[in-house]
Amino acid sequence: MNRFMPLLREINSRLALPQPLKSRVILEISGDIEDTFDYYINKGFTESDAEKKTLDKFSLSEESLAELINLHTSQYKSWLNNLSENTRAIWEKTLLSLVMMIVLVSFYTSINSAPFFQNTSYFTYPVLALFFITIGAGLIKFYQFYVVKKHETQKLRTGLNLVLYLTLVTFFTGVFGYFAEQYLSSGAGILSGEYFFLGLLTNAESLAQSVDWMIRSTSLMMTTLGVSLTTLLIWFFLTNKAGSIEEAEVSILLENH
Amino acid sequence: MKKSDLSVSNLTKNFNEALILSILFLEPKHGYQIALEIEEKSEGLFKFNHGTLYPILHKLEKEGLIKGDWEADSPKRKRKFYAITSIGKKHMKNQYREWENLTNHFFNIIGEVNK
Repeated sequence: MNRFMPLLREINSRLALPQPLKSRVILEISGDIEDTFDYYINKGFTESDAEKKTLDKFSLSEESLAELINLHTSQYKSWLNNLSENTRAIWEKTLLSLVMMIVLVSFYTSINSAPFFQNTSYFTYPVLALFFITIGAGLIKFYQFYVVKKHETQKLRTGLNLVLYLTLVTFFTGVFGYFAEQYLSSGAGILSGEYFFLGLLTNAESLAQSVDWMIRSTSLMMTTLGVSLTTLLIWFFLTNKAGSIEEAEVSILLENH
Repeated sequence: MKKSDLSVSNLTKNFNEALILSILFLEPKHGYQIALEIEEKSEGLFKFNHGTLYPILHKLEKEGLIKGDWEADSPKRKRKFYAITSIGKKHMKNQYREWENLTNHFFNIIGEVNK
């Protein structure tokens, strides 16, 4: 056990920073502590004097810690961090997984049929393309976390936000498609204002067009919501995994020090 | 990046930043080296506690005046070193002139004592 471990543990407990920043700051301080100690030893100080001088140098005041925390805490990052860390208890995780499974199973059962894609909006295809790109980005991180397992703390979260951004792009592409369908349908005379319902009741062709529009829009929105939810879940689990790896690395660092 | 001129209210902050940037002006250094070098060069007059050092280093890094990088001596021993950027060098040259101006004015005033 390293002589400076109590100090590092103390800084670790007082440093209210989100990961991976916290690990980076602790890592930086721990490296500097060792080097400062070595410097005093090389200068001819006894071990206990070198230790005392090093500890004096690294006594971080509340003011300095607060300054460091303020410097690194952006509201956006805190929000992202909290989003994936709010669900912590086992029963919360189980309930969340159960709800997600029901939603996803029913979603994939519905879309897994040829008629679904024969009748869907053209906007479903870019949504699906974005979904597969997002899955690809998620799989890369999955491979790094679960297969390679050779983690570099500094690069642990690189690419994770890409999954989230692609999810948002997917979602908004679907929403855009929905409104575009509505606009195109109004151009075709299906949704022409005050005579809309009258048209449906009296005109068989208009009714058929309207049903067609409804099917296209519904399948588009189902796809959009289903794939967005799936990729959001992937991001959620990967972020949690990154958090747990970072926590483990900080513990190892403190133990080894 | 445009930085504000030296102001008397921020003197300590600007003073510490100027010391750190000057130490990094010639070559990249680790955090502990910066603190120790300032102490050595000032013959113990400017004692830099690391508690003060890290917030300043991270702030300067955020502002793009210095750049931090990691080097690994061994898998378990990683250390961060800092290098001044071209923006930082330009900023430091401006700061030098401002410090010169400030100290000249200061000595003009307190110099009255010796007359």
